[in-house]
Amino acid sequence: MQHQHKHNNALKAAFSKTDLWVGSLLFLGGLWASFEASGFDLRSRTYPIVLAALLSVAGLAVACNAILSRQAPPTMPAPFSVVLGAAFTFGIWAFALRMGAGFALPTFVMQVALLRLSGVQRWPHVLFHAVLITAIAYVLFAFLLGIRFPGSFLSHISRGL
Amino acid sequence: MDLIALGFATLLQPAVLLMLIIGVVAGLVVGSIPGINDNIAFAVFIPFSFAMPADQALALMVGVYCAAASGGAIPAIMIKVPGTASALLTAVDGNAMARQNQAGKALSIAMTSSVIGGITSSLVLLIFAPALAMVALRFGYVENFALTILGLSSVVGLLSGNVLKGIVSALIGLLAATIGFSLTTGFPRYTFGNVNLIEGIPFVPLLVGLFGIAAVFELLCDIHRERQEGGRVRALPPIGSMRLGAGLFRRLLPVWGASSAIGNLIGVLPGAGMLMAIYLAYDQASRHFRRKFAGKPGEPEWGQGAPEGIAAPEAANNAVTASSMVPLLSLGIPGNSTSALFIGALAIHGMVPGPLLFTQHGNIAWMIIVAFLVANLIMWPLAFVVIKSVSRTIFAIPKEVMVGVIALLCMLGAYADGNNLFNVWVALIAGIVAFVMNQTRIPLGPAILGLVLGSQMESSLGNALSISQGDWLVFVDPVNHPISATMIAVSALMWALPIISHYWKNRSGTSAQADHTSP
Repeated sequence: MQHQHKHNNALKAAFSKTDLWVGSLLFLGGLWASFEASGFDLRSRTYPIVLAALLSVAGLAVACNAILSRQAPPTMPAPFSVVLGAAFTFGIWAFALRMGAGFALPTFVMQVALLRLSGVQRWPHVLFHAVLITAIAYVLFAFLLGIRFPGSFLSHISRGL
Repeated sequence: MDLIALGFATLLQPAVLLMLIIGVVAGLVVGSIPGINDNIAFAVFIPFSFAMPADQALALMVGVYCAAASGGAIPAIMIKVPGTASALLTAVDGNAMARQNQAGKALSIAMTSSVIGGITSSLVLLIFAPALAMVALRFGYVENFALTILGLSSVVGLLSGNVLKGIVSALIGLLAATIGFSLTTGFPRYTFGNVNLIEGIPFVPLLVGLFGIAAVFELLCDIHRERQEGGRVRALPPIGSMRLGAGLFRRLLPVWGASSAIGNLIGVLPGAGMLMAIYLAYDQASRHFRRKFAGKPGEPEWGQGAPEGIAAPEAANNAVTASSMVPLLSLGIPGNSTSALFIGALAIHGMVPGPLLFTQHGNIAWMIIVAFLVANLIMWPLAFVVIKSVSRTIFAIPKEVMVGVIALLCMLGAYADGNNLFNVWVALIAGIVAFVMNQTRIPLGPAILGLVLGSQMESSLGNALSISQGDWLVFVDPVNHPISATMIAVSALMWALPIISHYWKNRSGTSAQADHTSP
C-alpha cells in the first residue's frame, strides 16, 4: 500500500514537470514533421527530415532529463487563465475584423477585455480608456498612416470603421 | 570617406534627421516605462515605419534602438524598477544614490555613460562593419555554410544554463525556416495549401509576435503577480542638480573605457546580448571601486550609491547597441534579439542585411551606421529634456493601460505588413510559442538565429555539396577553404568550451569535497 502510494507520488511529481510535457511535445512534433517531410520530393526532404529527427531526439532528451533530474521542476507560476483570455481576445479581434465587424467595435471590445483582464475594476475607467485608445488608434492608423482595414458594416461612415 | 559622407548626406536630410530625433525621444520615453524593454519598444514602432520611405523609417528605428536602452535607466534610478532589462544593475546603485537626494547626479552619470558607450560602439560599427562586409563578399557556398554554423554555435556556446534547450530552440528556428517553397526545387513544404506560407512564415509578424505579443502576456502575468503581492506605490525622490563635476568625470573615465570595451566585444558576438555585457562590466567596476575607493571617508559601500555601479552597466549596455549591428550589417547574423528585429525593419523596405546591403543600398547602409553615431550625440541633451519634463508623467501611466496599447500596436504592426489578417494569426501563434518557451526556459535567441540563418544554411549546404560532389570534408579543407576551416574550428571550440568548463567545475568540486571529507 505504502509502496503504491510512493509510486503514485513519484508519477505525480514526474508529470508536474513542465519539461516533461514540453519535451514530449517536441518529440511528437519532431516525429510528425519528419513524417510530413517524407512526402516532399527527394531533393527537398533530406534537410527538414534531418532537422525534424534531431528535434525529436532533443525533445526526448529534454523529457528524459526531466524524469531523471532531481532538481525542482521549473514551475509555471503564470496565471494561465489571464494569458489564455488575452490570446482568445486577440483571436476574436482578428476573426471579427475578417467577418466585417470593422476596426472600431472589435478594438473597443478587445481593449475592454484587456483592461478587465489586467484587473481594472471600475467600469467608467475601463470604458474611458477603451474609447480613447480605439479612437487614437483609428485616427493614427487609418488617416495618418493610411493603413487599409477590411471593409465593414460601418464603412459608409468612414473607411474600415 | 566618400561613403561616410554619403551616409551623412542621406541622414542630414531634414525629414530623416527629424525622424532620428523623434526616434531618440520616443525611445527614451518608451524605455522609461517600466516593463517595456527595447524589444517591445522596437516592435511597437514597426507599424509606423510601413508608411515611411526607407531612410526615414530606419532612422526612426535607429533612434528608438539607441535610446530605449538608455531610457531604461530613468525608472531604475527614480523608482528602482528597471525600464529595460539592461538597466537591471543600474537600479542598485542608481536608486541608492537617488535616495540620498542625488537623483540628478545619478541620472547624469547614467546618461553620460550611455552616450560614451554608444559613441564608442558607433565607431566600432563604422570601422568594422564595412570591412567585414568586404571580406564576406568574397564568401562562396562553403564559407557561407561555415558562417551559418559559426553564427548558430556562438549562441549555443554562450548559453550559460541549459545547452540542450539552446539546441532545441535553434532546431525549432531552423525547422520553421524550411516552411515555404524549397529553394532548390520549388516544392512547397509544410504549407498545407496556404498561399500565405508560400514564401515562408512572414518575418515581420513573426518577430512582432515573438517579442511584442509575448511581452503582452508577460506584462499581464506581472500585473497579476503584483496584485497578489500587493504592490506599493513609491514616492519619487527629488531630481536635484544634474551637474557632473570634473573630478567625478575623471574618476569615471577608466570605468567608461573598460565597460565600453566589454560592451563592444560582447556586442559583436552574435547572441551574447546586453545582460552578459552589463554583468561583466559591473563586475570589473566593483573590483576597480574596491581597489581604489572602498573604505575611504565619504565613499559609499558598493551597491549603496557608488558612481561606478551606475557608470559601468550603462556604458556597457549602450556599447552593445551599435556593435551588435556589426555582424548583422556585414554578415546578416543578428548580434542580439533587438538587432534581429532590425531585420524585420529592413525587410519591410525590401532590404536584406548582409554584405550585399553595402553594394545594393549603400546610402541606406552607411546612413544606418552614421545614424548610430548621431543618435548617441543628440541623445545627451534630449535625455535631460525628457528627464526634466516627461519622466514623472511616464511613471504615472498605469501598466494596465499599457497592456492594451502595446497589444493593439503589435496586432496592427503585424496586419500592416501587406494589410493581411493572416499575419495577425502568425503574430498571435508566435507570441504564444514565445511565451511558452519563456516559461519553460527555452531561450528565444537561438530560434531567431535559426529562422534568420535557416534558408542560407540549407542553400549553401546543398550547393557546396553539389559542387564538391558530396564531399563533406570540403568545409574543413584548410588549403582550398581556409576561412571555412577556421570558422568550423572556432565553432567546434564554442561547443567544446562549455563542456570542458563544466567537466573542470565538476572535477574541482569533487576533489574539494574529497579534501573536505578526508580525515
